[in-house]
Amino acid sequence: MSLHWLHVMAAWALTLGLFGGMAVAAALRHRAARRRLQALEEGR
Amino acid sequence: MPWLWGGAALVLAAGAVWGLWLSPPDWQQGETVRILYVHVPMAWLAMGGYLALGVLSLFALVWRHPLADLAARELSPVGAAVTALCLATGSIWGKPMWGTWWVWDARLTSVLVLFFLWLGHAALVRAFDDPERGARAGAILALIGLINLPIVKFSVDWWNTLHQPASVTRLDAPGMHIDILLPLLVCALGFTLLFAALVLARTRAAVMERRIRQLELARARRAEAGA
Repeated sequence: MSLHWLHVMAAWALTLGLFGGMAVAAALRHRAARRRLQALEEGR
Repeated sequence: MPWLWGGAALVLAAGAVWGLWLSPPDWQQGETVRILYVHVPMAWLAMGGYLALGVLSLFALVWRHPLADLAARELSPVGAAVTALCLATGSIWGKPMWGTWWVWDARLTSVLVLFFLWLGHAALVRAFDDPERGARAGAILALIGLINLPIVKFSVDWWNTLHQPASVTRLDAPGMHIDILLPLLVCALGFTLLFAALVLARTRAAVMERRIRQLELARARRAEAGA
């Protein structure tokens, strides 16, 4: 792999990695909030 | 929401295949031009997202819309992340093309200021015990920071910068070949959908968390009254 390709892959990996991390964090937070709200509304 | 996540993943996958494999290398930059397909969408999202923050802040300050406060609060960490990505990918692109990771030219410096504005907003809205005061302070900061957007946009025209002038959003015609422009637009659409899905998911979670706090408070009051 040439140095140019290394820079390309680093830029793409950084971008997709950070977006992926934020997406997983948002989905987990959303799921936890939904479950807690459901439990509270059912009186548990 | 699943349709938005799915749409973003599909468009982004198509953009990645097109940008990384199917599009041609640049005659001058070679393969390095493929950084453009992530760097430019991050730059557009950093600026477009900040404009959205300004609109939300206006709604929050003038019409006291409660959802505008929450959406602005959830938007700023994502905005800070895309601006950081714009700076990082630009730096990774700059090293092989310019021979340096960073220069203090007007474009790079004004985008760094934009990053600090995003971070400042994210920190300020969380710095107060009273969320309403935090939201108001954040909204004022966001509106003042709007002045930086034209500086970022026109920095390459107003000053002599190492960064190249605008090549897509020129008034006459785009300064890049259609084989590079099309995958760029597809990647930009994919990242925009992903950005929107992220902010919406965070805002929905924040709405539910607010409701949870209200229910827990009501439950604690009932327990106190019964004791």
